[in-house]
Amino acid sequence: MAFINTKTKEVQVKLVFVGPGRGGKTTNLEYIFKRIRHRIESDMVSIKTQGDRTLFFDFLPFELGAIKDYNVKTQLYTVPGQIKYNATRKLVLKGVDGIVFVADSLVDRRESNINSLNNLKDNLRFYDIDIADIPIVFQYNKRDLATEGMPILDVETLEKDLNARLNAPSFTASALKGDNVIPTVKKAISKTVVAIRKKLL
Amino acid sequence: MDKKSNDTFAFDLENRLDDFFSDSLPPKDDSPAPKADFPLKDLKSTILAIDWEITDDALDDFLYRIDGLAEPFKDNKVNQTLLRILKSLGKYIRTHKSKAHPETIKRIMAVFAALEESVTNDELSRSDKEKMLLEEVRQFKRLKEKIVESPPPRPSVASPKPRKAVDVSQIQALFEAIDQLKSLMASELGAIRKELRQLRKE
Repeated sequence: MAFINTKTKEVQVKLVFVGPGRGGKTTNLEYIFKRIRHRIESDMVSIKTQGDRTLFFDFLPFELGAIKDYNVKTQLYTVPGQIKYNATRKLVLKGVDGIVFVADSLVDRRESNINSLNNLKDNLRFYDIDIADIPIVFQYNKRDLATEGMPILDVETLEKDLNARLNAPSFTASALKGDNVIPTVKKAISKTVVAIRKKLL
Repeated sequence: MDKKSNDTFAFDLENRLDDFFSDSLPPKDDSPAPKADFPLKDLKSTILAIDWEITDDALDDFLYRIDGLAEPFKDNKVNQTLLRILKSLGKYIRTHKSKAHPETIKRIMAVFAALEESVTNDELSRSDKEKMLLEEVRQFKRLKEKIVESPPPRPSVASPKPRKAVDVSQIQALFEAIDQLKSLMASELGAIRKELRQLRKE
């Protein structure tokens, strides 16, 4: 649940990037940080294992500024995608307000995407959250690999696998090249802030 | 909740997001900024990096930024001396790494704060600045004495502390999460050990 301080007119929003391991969650955050670093005072914090994999999480806090009367502060997190780190994933999801699900478009990652989404559902359920009730945006990442001749899933398949029931906004993207990274995060923030406002009023 | 106010809110939010994520550089502050403002910002960020984690890269960057400020501050004795102290402290940490005296980082922070004050506060008189410098020199000497007196082996890579430029509540949130992680991992390890013990018994 978002942290709201009515006295100081401050809203703190927590967005978590979720998805299978090596799907591009950290790359998304790194690109966002690169794009906004001249505007923000904070740094991106990454805690890595050997081999540059995310062990705990990446963390990027920034102030969006005043919207209406409220100063909106946003915290972006990623979770480790590897199956073995579920305890960490669960913990990072505590108090989550919105989700960006970064799916891997590679054909052989189809099952990992589905498993990761199911794992997200389970972890949210742990906090009494139904995935249908939380703002979520899908990003079908690594679309650029098609140009390199790699077999990638078509958007219809990804939508059917992951988004058929939720019917959430979705974007094809290449986090490595920065394609559609910003539209994804913008949509996620806007959906989340609007949802929080609805809950408040 | 009326639809109109909802629509205006959504509209304002979209506009804010467009502005925030736009490619254009942020509007420049109209107030006359001191020339050294930008190089100091770079130095500050390297200090924050060192406070977070002492790495060779961070220290190299720190020393590089200090050297870069020598020219802009060549006519200002106070700033020059403060930079010299910073460089000396940086080199000391570079050499002794985790065995450096634990107060060194604190001293770097304090000296940098004095430098920042000297650079940005136009109301500070020359004598005020000199007093500030004398105090920093005194503290620097005290630290040197402590280093000489005490044999080194004390780990200096302290737990990360909230950094000035970052919102305290956000950093607190991060630390809380890390603390929770630590205790969670400890309990998980405990459970694994217990399981192993049981398996061995079986």
